[in-house]
Amino acid sequence: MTQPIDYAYIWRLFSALTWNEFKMRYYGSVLGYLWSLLKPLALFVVLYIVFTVYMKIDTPYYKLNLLLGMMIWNFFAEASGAGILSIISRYTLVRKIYFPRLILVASSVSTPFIGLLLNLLVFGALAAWEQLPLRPEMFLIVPLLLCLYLTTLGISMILSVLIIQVRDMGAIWDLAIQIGFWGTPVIYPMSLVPEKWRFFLFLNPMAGILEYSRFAMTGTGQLTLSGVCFVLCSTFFFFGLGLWVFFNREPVVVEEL
Amino acid sequence: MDDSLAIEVKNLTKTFRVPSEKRWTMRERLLNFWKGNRQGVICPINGVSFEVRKGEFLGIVGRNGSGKSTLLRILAGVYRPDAGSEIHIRGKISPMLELGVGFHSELTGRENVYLNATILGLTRKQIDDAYEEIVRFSELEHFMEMQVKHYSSGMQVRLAFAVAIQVDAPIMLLDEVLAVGDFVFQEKCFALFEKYKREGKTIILVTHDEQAMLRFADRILWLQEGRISSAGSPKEVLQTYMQQ
Repeated sequence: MTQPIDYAYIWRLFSALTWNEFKMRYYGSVLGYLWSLLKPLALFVVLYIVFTVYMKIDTPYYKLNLLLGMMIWNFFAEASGAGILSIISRYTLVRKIYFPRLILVASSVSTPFIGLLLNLLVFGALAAWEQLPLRPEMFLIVPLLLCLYLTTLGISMILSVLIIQVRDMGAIWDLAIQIGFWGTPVIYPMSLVPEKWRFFLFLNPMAGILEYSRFAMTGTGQLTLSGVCFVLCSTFFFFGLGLWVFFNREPVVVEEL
Repeated sequence: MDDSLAIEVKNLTKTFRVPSEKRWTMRERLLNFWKGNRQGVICPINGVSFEVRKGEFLGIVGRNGSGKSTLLRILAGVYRPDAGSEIHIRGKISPMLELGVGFHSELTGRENVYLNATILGLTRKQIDDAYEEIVRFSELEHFMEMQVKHYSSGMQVRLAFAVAIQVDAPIMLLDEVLAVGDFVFQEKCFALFEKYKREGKTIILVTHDEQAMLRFADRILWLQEGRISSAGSPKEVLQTYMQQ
């Protein structure tokens, strides 16, 4: 019964879906990309004014840290928002043709990831403008982005099959994203959080990734061994749990759509 | 397994659990948490056994809800059969070809051709080579750069069909491809069936069109409520089928 897994086919389908979603998102143009950049950028400007002019937050590199945080959080929100709908929104396709369903989730997470990489180029330009010194620690951003991708993919895998059982999961997740924005050090640095609360904040998988991305790029905050272990463990945990849930549910998902 | 067989199915059963009252939302789930989901069972395929020889054209008939599409979906690997069912397939099986699968209304005709053909298993190179032919076959030369949402349903079907026939597998599953389209389109389908037969492909066709069955099928299965009611030469089976 089982036909052999065709990896070349999986790759072709994955890249075709990702590329098409990317084209649709950015309308295949440079201007289209600018529009998608505008949304986080506008919020960034508003928050920057509020928190520096009115609240007088004055931590080093606040502007760059805020922008980096917003870009990473924006990726997480967009990717998980697309990931949760990745299977259910394509039910006509899923009900008729068999292919590994993971491709759908992976491509809806990968499209915003390409967007994030483009955004990071913009961040790089701003950092150069602000004369951010180049440091070898900046290379840490590469493994951190990998952790970010895997964590988001893991969470999306869980959500994409969960929403088939619980149809209002979309609304619940929207709420979680909104609360998460304030519960993650996006607009404030971890150093402003009282010591006793930091542990709880770190339970949020995005907090560690965000905080260490800032450490990598601007050198704010501190790298601790336990913190690094925590980020790695939470990445493995969410990605592993995602795979486990997904492959347990994959065969029956199509029957419940 | 016998070498001359393309598909061998033994005692195939598929049951779906259908919650008698589906609880879709969080609130309903929480409120009814302790009750559990009461579930009914439906059984669209119930102990079906049959064989398809290599190069055979098998037709499947049956009323709506008799399990035809479920059977095809199981063969295509979309549904997993119940334990105890045995399916042996020799050779690559095509995805279940039904028209218009996976078209994306925001993409242009050209982009949809590439996406859809990729889904159906073609490589980039194969699509490049076949592209001219697809466009000619669908008669949409002037519309390939237009978004599919502006297509008429007939145009969509033509394009989907032109892409689908590019799939090349020794075993082809065709579901109700004749149900849409005018007589010209039907003739194109028939020409395609002829070609498949010449090439020695194994074909399973589900259709309500008895003319096509009489013309092409070597053998017909008649499904009734998930069981094979009768199987045999198209003439005999169709006679009893039409009389019921």
